[in-house]
Amino acid sequence: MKQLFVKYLVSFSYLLESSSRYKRVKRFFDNLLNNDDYPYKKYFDIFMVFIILSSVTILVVDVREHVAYWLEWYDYYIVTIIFIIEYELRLWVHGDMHKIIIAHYEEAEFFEKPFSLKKVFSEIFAQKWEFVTSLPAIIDLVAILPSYREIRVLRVFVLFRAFKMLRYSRSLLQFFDILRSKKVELYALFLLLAFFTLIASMMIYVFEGAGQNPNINSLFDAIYWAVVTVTTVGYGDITPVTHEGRFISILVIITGLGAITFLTSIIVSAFGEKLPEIKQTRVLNQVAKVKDLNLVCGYGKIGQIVSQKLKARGEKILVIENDPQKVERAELDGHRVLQADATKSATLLQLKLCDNVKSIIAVTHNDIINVFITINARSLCKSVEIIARCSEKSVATKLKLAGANHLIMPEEIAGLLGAVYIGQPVAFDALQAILTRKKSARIDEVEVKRGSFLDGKKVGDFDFTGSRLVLLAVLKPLKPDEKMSHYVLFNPPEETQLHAHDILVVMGYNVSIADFKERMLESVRYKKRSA
Amino acid sequence: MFDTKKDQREIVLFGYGKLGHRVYEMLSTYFSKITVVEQSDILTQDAKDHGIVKSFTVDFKHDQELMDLGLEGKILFCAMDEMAMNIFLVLSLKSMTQNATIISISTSAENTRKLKFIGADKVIDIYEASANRIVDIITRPAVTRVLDEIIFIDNGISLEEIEIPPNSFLEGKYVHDIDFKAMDLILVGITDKEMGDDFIFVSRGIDHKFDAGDILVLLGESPALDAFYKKLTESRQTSTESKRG
Repeated sequence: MKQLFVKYLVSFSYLLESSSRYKRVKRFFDNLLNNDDYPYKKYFDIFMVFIILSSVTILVVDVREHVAYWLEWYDYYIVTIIFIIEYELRLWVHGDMHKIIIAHYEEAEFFEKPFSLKKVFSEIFAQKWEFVTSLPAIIDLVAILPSYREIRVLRVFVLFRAFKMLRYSRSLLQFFDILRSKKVELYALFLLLAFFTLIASMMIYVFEGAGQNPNINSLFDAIYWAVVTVTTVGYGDITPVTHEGRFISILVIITGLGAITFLTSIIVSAFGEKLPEIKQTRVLNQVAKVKDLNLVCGYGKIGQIVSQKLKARGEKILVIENDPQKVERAELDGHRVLQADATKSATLLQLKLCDNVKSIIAVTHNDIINVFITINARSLCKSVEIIARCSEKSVATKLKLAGANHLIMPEEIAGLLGAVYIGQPVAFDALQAILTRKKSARIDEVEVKRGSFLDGKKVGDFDFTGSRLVLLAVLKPLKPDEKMSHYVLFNPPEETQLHAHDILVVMGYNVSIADFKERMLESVRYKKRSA
Repeated sequence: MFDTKKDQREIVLFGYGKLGHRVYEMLSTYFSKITVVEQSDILTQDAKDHGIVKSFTVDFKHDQELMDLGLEGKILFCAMDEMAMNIFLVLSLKSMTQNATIISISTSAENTRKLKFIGADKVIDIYEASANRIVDIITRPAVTRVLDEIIFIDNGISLEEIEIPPNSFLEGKYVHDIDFKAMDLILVGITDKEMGDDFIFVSRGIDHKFDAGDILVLLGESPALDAFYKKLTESRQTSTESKRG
């Protein structure tokens, strides 16, 4: 009989292990309940918060008023059933029973030992017990209890329905995480307080409980007085009347003040320690869904200017910096900052590198770190654009090998700009003006839109000079309809054929370029309308 | 023309540390008359080890030692690793030279302001320039590609400034009269002497009259630029000869 049971149990476990549908369903519920990055969890959380709030409202109103029958019915059945289903689902997704069975079965087969059902069930039980005894699970379970209206005292558990909301708010959960990080100190403090309260209550009871104080008639009165005094609340409904009692009061008040100061310092220091983590979580939440993000790794001099300029041009940026002082500086400059190490895979994976990141700008002052950032990013994503800074020529070769698309060598740029200036000061000034846009002439790029007046036409068909533009180059895709890689056709002849996705690089004043871009868009709109 | 200027300008490069070394490498691809001046014997020796014969150790605090280098009329390039030293150097050089061009490297907007204030002719902020390049790569990739072709990549395409000599074929003509495209050139702008020393972009649409002394900024491949330069100088000779005749 046992053998048959084991046989079916193992077969069923293997069936679950091989079933992609089962895994898919379980993963779906696991994501829905536990994965903050899962897009649909947000809707589930909102739904649960609504259920909790409605239920708590009904239960609170029901204390003195009579609520409508259908509302009671909703609270009795719908809410309770939803809570029970949720609890069951959480219990289910917490670990895989079938995996434990398979592991034990395979171990038994391998070592030719008997398959112990007792061991298997105790392990499964331990795994599930871990969930059942966790604080959120206890709150979940207790929150179901107010449904049993027959036991009136259970109404107090309505509070637990409110506590249940903690599950659906990450910031509230973080508060408990912070307290948990100081549990040893808090435990010691509460133990000390409990000890003092007990001693103080016993002493006051001994000195004033035998009729000296008309307000202390039982040990409970003494404990109540001790708690009220030690917490420095002091209602004044019970006051000591004997000298001994007053002396104890003095001790208890001093102890209470010390304990409260200690408690405050524990909580404040815990918050101080956890603050960077809280900020990090907040930043990650903010950028989780941002597309085309530019990661500025390193907030040194170049990082600062790049961040400021990119932001000014409407680009989305996130500064990644390890040094707390630089993090603070970046925050003061108004940037979103993640205090993290960009050379670590986890940091970039958290930011969904391949899906959301447009470029990585490795501009720390250390060439080696820039190489590591490049290797890290390129090994995780083939397509992301990487711009890396370096000073040494030997490092430049390594950066190219590591997969950097562009190298920035400040010393080389300085030398080159110096050389250009010495050779041709007028041309240099012209170039500087174009690059820095300090004069209103600039170089800009305009993509030939499909169906626009230039699509399928020749360069000579448009009077660039008349439009006060100078056509410097045309960038043509290497493959038709390829948007990423282009070859440059410098100073293109009049008969050059233009197609959609070609990029024209034109020089002109802001007004002329803006007008040209507008004409391009207008011609597309006109074509669409006439079609 | 850039190439013809290659051996004409004498450059004194101050500094052969991390920064000066790299600046020398870039300058030496365009200019051959470069003197390296250092404060540190070790770095001067380093320059000599790299084959720079004209490298000297000078105490920058002693003006006479600097003057003995013969700085007048030269390009003085300050590329010390330490910014305070660059500022001090520019101040010293400015006080002891009349017609030298002083270029200095800067590492911040604050230093740039100080350097300009004490009279540096050109200040290159290496971090600002690097950041500009990064921003352009991200926000204007096609423009960056084209500028790379012009500035960074040695493919023969360059931005050149050419002064119109007297009696050339351009004299008296207007911008619209000349078909630069037919010569495979792009006229970017002009410094029109009649209108002051300001550089004016051709895209502004004003039809300038070319005069001797105007400076044209042209973009094109080396052969086209060479041919244009040749045509300018030849037309000058032809015109002079015909006047003599």
